[in-house]
Amino acid sequence: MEKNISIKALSFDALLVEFEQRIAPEILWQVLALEQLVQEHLPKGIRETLPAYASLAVFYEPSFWAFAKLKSAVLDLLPLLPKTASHLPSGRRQAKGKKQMKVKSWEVPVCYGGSLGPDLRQMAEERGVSEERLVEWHSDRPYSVYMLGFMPGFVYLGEPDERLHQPRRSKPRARVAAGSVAIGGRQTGIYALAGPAGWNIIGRTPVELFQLREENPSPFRPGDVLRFVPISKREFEAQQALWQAGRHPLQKQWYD
Amino acid sequence: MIEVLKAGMYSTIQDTGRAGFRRYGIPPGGVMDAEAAALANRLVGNGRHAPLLECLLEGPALAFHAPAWVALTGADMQPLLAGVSAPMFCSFFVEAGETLVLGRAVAGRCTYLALSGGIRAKRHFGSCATYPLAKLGGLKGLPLERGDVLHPAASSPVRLRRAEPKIYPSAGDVTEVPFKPGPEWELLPEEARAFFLSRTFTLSASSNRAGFYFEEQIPLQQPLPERISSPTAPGCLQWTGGGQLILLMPDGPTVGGYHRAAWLSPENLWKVAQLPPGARIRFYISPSHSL
Repeated sequence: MEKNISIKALSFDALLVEFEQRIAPEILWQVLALEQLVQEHLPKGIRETLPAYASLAVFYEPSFWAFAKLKSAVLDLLPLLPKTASHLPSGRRQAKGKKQMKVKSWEVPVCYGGSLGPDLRQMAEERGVSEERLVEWHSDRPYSVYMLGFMPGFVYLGEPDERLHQPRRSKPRARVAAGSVAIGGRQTGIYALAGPAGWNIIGRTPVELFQLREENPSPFRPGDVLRFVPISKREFEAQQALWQAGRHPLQKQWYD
Repeated sequence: MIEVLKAGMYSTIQDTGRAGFRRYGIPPGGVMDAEAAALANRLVGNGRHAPLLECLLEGPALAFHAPAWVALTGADMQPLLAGVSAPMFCSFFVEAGETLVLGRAVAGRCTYLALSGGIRAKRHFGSCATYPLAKLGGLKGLPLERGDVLHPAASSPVRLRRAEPKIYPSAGDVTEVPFKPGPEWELLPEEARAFFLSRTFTLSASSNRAGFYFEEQIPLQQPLPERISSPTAPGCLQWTGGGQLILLMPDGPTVGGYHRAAWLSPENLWKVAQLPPGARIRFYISPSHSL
């Protein structure tokens, strides 16, 4: 496993660990396992860690760590990585601050198409199928959360059915609503905040994906699993009202 | 209290930024030129993390309804206090009823205005740095608008302090900037790297607190392949598939799929942050062996 891993400088205060560059649950599992090892074994002089699809950034205090020293400390952790892992961690993971965490499974309600998913109709037409069929393809499987980032709360999810792969829009939209569910190339994801967007918008969730609180600004973490549940526009409006009233009806189940 | 009579081009409350929330997509943010910002705070007796005003290219007009000690550092926006030229790089006292007007930067980009005691601001995720995309920090998470009101966070006695004034480049000036090769430097075509090292690059007017853009592109035989999204950081110089350069600044995205060709040390990033549109940069590989 270690021969596929390389360590480089990302910036003056960040070390980058790169795994085999592909999108797969077993690679993500390695990233998250190394993040946990760094948090457990190198508690001093580390500002934060940032897991991505197939890489981990370790931001450190340059006054505490020289790059070469930290690199060799991280190299020493690699033999501790699990040798085989064909699935995501199903047990407990150690979070920063020594709090026990579980990987969670979520149900995310989505109202597909219409004004909330303006690109669904054209995607259906291009494929010669009904919008309902596209919704079926999108909501018939669980997705792994691979990464949060690019902008606050944006959720990068694992691969949708290949019949849904759709290149990014050549002309990005100046503004899409918070909660927009989108397809960009071979990925699907959710825009947590209103803003410009280049992905194809197929629906919207009433779930608030970014909140101004330091504990869990996003309900999701890399490694979580989520499933989209189609809802009607009426149901969307009802749930949105609940969220706006400060109720948080997001369904979750614990994985054991 | 201080009333905003004119907002300026992009005036935000900033501090030294937030740490620990990149995993949620929240960038560090904070001041672009940390050296000039720390100096402004020091001149009015504040600690280096105190919230202060960062003004880009054209500054605000502020009516003081209570007296305050103020310091201005960074780009010279030809400040006028009650109609008379006010000093840069030197603390000064503003009487109640006086108005401080900043104009356009004659050179440089970022001006820092520190108030003795700091500026009262919203704190989100450990920082008062304004980040409009998620409406974090500052007054309402947004740049100053006309009619906004600023309050000093505390009042503290200050004596007159001054520092060596600094001169910043103007449009057309060439700045030599050393860099360290980034994670994908070796993957870039050799002739493209040679082009990059042999030319000067002009800062585009579309540059902002998320990224600095350049007018020239790197000619490429074929587009660079898209990479699986991976962490980025302020100071990373990215090459897009089409050969456009983007230097990430404090509000830039936390992850991206472009090639990370190079990175700049903090001191060099602060220096570049002060370059106005039209200023030119020649990049060279840092000879230092600190890594």
